[in-house]
Amino acid sequence: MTEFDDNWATQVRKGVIELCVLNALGSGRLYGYDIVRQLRDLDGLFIAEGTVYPLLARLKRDKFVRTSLEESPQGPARKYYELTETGRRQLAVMNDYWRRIGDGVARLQQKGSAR
Amino acid sequence: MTFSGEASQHLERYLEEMRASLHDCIQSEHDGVAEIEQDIRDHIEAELGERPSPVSADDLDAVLARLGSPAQWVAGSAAAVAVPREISNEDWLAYASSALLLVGFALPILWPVSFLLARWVLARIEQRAEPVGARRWLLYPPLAVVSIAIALLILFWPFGAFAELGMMVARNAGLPTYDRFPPLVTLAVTFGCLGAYWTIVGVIAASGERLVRSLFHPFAGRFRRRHGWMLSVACAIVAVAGGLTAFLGLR
Repeated sequence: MTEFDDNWATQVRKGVIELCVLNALGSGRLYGYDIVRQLRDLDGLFIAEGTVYPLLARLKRDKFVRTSLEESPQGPARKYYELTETGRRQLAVMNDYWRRIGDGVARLQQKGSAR
Repeated sequence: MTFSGEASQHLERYLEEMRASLHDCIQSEHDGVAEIEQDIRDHIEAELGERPSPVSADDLDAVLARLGSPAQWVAGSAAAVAVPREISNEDWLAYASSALLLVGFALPILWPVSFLLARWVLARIEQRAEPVGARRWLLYPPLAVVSIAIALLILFWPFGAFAELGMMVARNAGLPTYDRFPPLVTLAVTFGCLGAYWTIVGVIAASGERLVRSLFHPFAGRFRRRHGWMLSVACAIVAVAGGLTAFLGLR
């Protein structure tokens, strides 16, 4: 990968990580570490795993997610994250935007390959 | 989970770096930093919880490497955490509980109210897994005042009765009670009985570990069954010493 590729990929990841976190939570509430594990499995999304936690803190500040503590049989109480109603609405907006961007890029790619 | 000495040093260094990086960008958002730190600790616990203790520095370093340098987080999305925290209902209620405590110096009936309010607010904060942060300066004083009162009440409520018993024993034995007050026998009986009573309190505390932690929350978070037993044993020694002293004094 060239330096340009690196920078470009970093910019894309920065933009997409919030979408990934919100989508991970779209299926239900998750323990912070489970969110990281889901992102870890995503092909191409190489992130410093710690990045997720400040991001979750910001999403909580923005009231897109809320947290709750629950006793865990494996040890100390666990903190779970879940989407708020505002978060669900935001996720729908972001997913819609992502689809439109994806469709637009796909159309441009098709045009390019048709030439 | 425990860490080897070297691993502990690595973890502390990492968390220190994290606090410095986040403080630089989050500024006065102390609660946010504390919450992120707790998340990081939970993450490490989840990753290494099943490893045999103490966890080695190599194992810890592998997890820290995947977490990445906190400076990287700041360069990424963390900078956006710098949104000032809004004043929440819990903040106002924490002020209210503190105010009730102060007014309680003129009207002590308000102290239990301030205690209950502080406990309720603390429960709400904990339920949402938020750090208490600076709110502890508002919430803990009402809790401390009433917790200390409850502790003193539990420990010393029978003191008067035991002192009376001690004087009665001394009088029955024909020993002077007031002209050389307090005579040794009176003291020995009083503290011997108190020791016996505290031994029972210790046993109850040992068997009701959760009850003690809940009653004196958040100050008794580290109370364990063994502390109850230690109290029992120490007080049993006091009881025996009191009994022996009284016995010898009465001979």
